[in-house]
Amino acid sequence: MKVYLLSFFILCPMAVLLAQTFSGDSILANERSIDRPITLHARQLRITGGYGLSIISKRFNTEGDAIKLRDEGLSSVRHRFNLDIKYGINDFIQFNAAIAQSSNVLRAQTRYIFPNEPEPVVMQDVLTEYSGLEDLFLGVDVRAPFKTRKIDLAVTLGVNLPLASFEPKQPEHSFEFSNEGGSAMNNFTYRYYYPLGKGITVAQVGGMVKYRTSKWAFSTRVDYQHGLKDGKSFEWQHQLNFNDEFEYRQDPFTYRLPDSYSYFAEIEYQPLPWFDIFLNVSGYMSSNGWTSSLEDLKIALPEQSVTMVSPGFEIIVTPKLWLRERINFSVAGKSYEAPFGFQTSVIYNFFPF
Amino acid sequence: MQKYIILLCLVCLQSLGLAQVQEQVSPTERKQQTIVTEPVTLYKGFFRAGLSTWYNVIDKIFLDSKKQSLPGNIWGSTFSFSLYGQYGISDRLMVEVAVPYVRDNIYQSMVYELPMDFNEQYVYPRKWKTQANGIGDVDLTLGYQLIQETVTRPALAAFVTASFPTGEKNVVDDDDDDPNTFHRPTGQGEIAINTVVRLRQIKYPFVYSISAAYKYRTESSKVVAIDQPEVKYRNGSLLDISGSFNFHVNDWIAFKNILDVMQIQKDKLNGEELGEKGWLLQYLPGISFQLKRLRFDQGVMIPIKGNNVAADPGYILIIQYTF
Repeated sequence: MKVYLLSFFILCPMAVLLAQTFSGDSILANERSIDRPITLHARQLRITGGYGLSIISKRFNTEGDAIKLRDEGLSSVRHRFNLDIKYGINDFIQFNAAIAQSSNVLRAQTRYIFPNEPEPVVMQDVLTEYSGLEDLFLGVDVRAPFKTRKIDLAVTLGVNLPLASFEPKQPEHSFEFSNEGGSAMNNFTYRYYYPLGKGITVAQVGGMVKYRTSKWAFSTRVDYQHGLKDGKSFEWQHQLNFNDEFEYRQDPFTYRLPDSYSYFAEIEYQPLPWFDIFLNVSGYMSSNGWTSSLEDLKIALPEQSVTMVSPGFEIIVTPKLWLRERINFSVAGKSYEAPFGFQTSVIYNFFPF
Repeated sequence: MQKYIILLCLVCLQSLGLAQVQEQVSPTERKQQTIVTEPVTLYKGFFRAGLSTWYNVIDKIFLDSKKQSLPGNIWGSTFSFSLYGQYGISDRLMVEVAVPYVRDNIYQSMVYELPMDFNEQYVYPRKWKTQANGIGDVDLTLGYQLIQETVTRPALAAFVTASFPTGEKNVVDDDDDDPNTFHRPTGQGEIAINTVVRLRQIKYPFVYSISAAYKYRTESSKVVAIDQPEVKYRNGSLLDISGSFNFHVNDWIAFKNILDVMQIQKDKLNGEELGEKGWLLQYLPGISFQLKRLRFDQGVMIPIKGNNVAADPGYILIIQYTF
């Protein structure tokens, strides 16, 4: 009898677990992109890996006019890899974690400086590299328990933890004297390295709404980000010594990250159960940031904004595996780069527990 | 008793024979086969038309075996597309013609600063653009299955591609006074022969292959700099080994994975070797969508390690239709 009871208690949870796995899979099998709730189903785990290429050949100036960067020798590309993990704690609360790594090198216009004779010509190249891990984002989304499937509403709370490096690495400048064909030249190459961490904790609060019809869905999301304290960092200063070697010193400053809003609105159309097309408008606005040297003279950072339009599509490869691609066009902004880019994401869903 | 034994043996043999009958696939189904299920060469009488596009920026280079930003202030992009047609002469032999169109732009920008006196300086910014725009070198390929694939035996195929110098081979002056701006060539001016041997096995839903290739390039006479006479130039030959592993994730989508390593011999200018040998290890992840006879392939060629070669990823989009 004990054996039967024991078997019963072992088999029952197993059967329940198996049944839950299949029920989760069947939920995904019958769910189109527009049907998805804005938070995950209970115990659903979603892993998203993505790659984005941005071609930065324009920039919006303070007046909002687009400037061609290639005319100023400042065009560049940015490669960005991101990893997002979401978990549905229940049908109304989901946990988010996100991290990304990116790299971008700016090669400034080469300068030739012709001093008075007999001083040699000075050639100067400046390379500035922005690369590394970005700060870790952790967040929770809470969905309203509406009975209707037409509308979904959620609030989002999150925090960017300053886990990534934020202090610039020591530059690696080089100097070389050349004398070719009787023309002497001092060649300077300045190499600066900046990591992508923000150095302080940034809190985030926001909201999401999704409205559906049988073949269409409309979503919007707004988030507000605020740095919880002022940060401290430094800039590297350099000097060429008598041995033609560079010496460096740190020049400290304090800073406040600007408060920022990010927004997003999307229209989705689902012509086929496995194929979804969308158009989204997203943007970013920031203000109230400053930097300050030791003399406590605060210098305001310019207000920044950018608006992007991104058409794209999603293919449900299998109920668990989705592929999402979009093209990003920068259409307006102020004091911000205006990239054109591609984003590809592979999304995997399963019910691990 | 002997009669029954003989009868049983005959029935068994017949059933074995029947079991060995090949799977019957209709021509329509054959035209809808994917990169995983199709044979190495095109079936007899089939015609496939395709458009292949390539985009990359010119930003990074492998030097001293490290990925580095290009020295100076050069920025550029390459966009090329190739229209091609394939025809199956027999189930083993196919022919392909590819006509490429090349469009690259390279920009360089600099500023000259000359002091006039203690309070003033003369600042003179300059920017240059060189462009290649036109038909490239046409490729003609013959592919032959030396050994046809069976369930237990892989296919062995050979492909020979001849490239003809149909693209502009010379650097051409754009008729302005600036020697830094000119039209760059869209072709190499050479005849090149690329030979590929490929071993491939399908284990549905997977397919594996390994290839070895050698590209031999002839010497050509061309102008490589403005206002300079023609020179004899020979691009370095190319040795390439690659392996691929593709698999279906559903009936009409397959993931592609190609790992490729190549070695590039030194170029020669008027018989003298130039520069250093180059090598490159690169990886191509991609996705292939098969919508009946229409196929979309997309992928990114990612340089991983190398020396004396460009280090920027290339984006590939291919559209094909089988008639």
